[in-house]
Amino acid sequence: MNQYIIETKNLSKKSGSAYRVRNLNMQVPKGIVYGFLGPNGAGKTTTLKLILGLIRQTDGEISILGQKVSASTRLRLNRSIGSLIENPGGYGHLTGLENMQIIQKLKGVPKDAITSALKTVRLYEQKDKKLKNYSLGMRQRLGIAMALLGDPDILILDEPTNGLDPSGIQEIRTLIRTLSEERGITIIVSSHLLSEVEQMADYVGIIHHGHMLYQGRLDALEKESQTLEDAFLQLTEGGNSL
Amino acid sequence: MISVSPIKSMQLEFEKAKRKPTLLMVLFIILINLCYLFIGIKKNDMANFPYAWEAILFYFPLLNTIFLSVFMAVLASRTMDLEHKAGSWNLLQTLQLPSSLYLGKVLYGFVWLVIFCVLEMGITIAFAKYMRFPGFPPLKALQLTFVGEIIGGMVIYQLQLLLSMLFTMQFVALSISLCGTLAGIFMMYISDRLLFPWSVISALRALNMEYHSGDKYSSYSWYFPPQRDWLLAFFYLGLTLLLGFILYTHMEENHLRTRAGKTIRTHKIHTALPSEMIKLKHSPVWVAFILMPVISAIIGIINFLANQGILSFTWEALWTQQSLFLGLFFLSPLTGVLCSLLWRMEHHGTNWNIILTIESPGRLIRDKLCISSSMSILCILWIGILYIISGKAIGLTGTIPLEFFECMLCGAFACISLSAVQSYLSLTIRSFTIPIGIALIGGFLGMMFLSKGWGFFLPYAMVQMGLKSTSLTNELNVPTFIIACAIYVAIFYFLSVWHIRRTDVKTME
Repeated sequence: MNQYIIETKNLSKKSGSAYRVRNLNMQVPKGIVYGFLGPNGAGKTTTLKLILGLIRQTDGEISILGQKVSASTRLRLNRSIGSLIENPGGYGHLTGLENMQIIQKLKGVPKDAITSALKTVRLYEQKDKKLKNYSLGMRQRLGIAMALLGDPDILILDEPTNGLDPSGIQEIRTLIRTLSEERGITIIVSSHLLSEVEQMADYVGIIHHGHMLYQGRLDALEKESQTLEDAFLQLTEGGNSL
Repeated sequence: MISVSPIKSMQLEFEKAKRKPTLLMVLFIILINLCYLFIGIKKNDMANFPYAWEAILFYFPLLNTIFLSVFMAVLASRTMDLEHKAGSWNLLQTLQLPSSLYLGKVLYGFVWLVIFCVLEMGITIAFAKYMRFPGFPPLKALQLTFVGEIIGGMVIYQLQLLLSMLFTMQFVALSISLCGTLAGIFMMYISDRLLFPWSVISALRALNMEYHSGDKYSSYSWYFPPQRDWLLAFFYLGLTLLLGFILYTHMEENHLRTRAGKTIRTHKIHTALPSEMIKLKHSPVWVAFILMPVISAIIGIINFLANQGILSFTWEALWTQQSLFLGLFFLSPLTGVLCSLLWRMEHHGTNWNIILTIESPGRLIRDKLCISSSMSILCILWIGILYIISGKAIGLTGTIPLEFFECMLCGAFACISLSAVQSYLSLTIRSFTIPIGIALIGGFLGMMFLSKGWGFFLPYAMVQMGLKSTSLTNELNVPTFIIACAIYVAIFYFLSVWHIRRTDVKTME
């Protein structure tokens, strides 16, 4: 029995002549918040897109919930994942609620799921506003609400706090912790901010130039090098000289 | 079943298109269509006109080569632009197969196409009955026309889906189809056979017309498109569908391109006129400005030579052939495309915030006007050069008529006033396509205004008046014309400045 909810084996993605991700072995245990850490351009988004099947790997394997991802299983496995990749998407001329309805119908989940998802991200009051009038923070939360539709087992959030103000960041952070602790959702959060990962994650994967430099429990890493910052700098500088 | 069916995907397309005034657009096009059909037919005095239904059925495919093509192209471009703008590829593709997304979009276009054709025919027949047309149109011809429109409309729609996916910037995609439509119209004059995708609608028609120049009347005869044309039409239909399908199901590359398109958002801001030039740097809009006059000139020559029976072998006759459609239908939308493009850059993202903190509204508008005017003037010059070269090439003798230079001058001024109008429209209407649509319809209205002698009241009519597309020897009071142009420029310049001053900056993510 596979203990990892998401696992990649030697995952590689080449675009042009350069590898964006190379021989990546990512292992995400069940029920944790996995902080996916790396500087800009390290390959975080590429990896997450590979997992979701948005782009195709050059090499390697991905399994979700112990099942290998292939063209035929991709959409079925994606059913158990809620995702928010890059900027939150949405149709500007439609209201928050209408945007949610489109995703709800695509996911084929009951209508009342919308209400609960909107309430979870505290957007229910603003559901009848058009998306183009939403602030960035609201869009981000709507993106998370879309991801939450249908009670996924796994949540993949790509830099969900990008561009948010401190209270917005705090809110998302609390939301992520709550979802993990109360609903037992496994969450992968990518970020380039150390402090953020430090406060949210149980587990970290540090990626640099497409390579996984460290993967394991956050407290184990911190035990070794006092702070995450020290560990991160050590690792990435080491990575540079490789 | 997990995957979303294409039917459901199509329903979702309708939900996504909520609040987009598509039906209004359809009705408006039909209205213009009606005006054209019935004003034209009324002229020929109903009593002496035994071919009323035939005439309507003959003109249907002709008009739709323009209207339906543009409608389907705009529809396809919009449904794609929706996703580009929303950045929704990432999310949608985790939820549905690209094939279902694509087929949903195709079905969406098909449903609108059927709505369009049914409404168009229904309203036209109802109106004809109201005008006391005798009897009913022959059912067989009606069916054939309908089938022809459906096939032709779908070919253009699928082609545009393909183009709009390839080019994130919709103006590129739309310019290509505008050029195609232009070429399609000219093709009708060269050959009544099916040649390329934009002539499917006109090739699959139910009637032929013969114009008797001696007695100045037209007669119509039944026609059934040859097998070759049917095969080619279905070939185009299948090919565009298949290519689109392949492109969508191999979305990864496109997806990357979508992103690449989005990151080119930052502009260097210069405060002088050349900044507008810099902004246009990566926009191959000039290609359309070069290409359209060339297409129109070439086809003008072919048409000129082919119709030597009717036309005289003179410079005057050549000019009408080369400039007719350019002035009538295509110079206005082209100016519209350019103006929309110039303003789109400011409407995009948060650019308004940047530009208005460093540039005064007056200067900004003046700069935009300078660019669109100089492009238009260059375009007019190019049209003139092509005219002279082609005239010499086919061996026209004698001097170029003096009126030609007059109409170059007036054409240029008319284009400047037109670009002031279009610039105002593109500034106030934040949409990219609507001002272009207005320009296209303006071209038609212009023709009607001109025939009523109200040319000065509509800038679109003034383009045709200035270019003298109908006849080079028409009288034109040049000073009055130029003053009228200047008044239009002044009015729309101040309206634009006033608009910027009055309204708050609105940014769109």
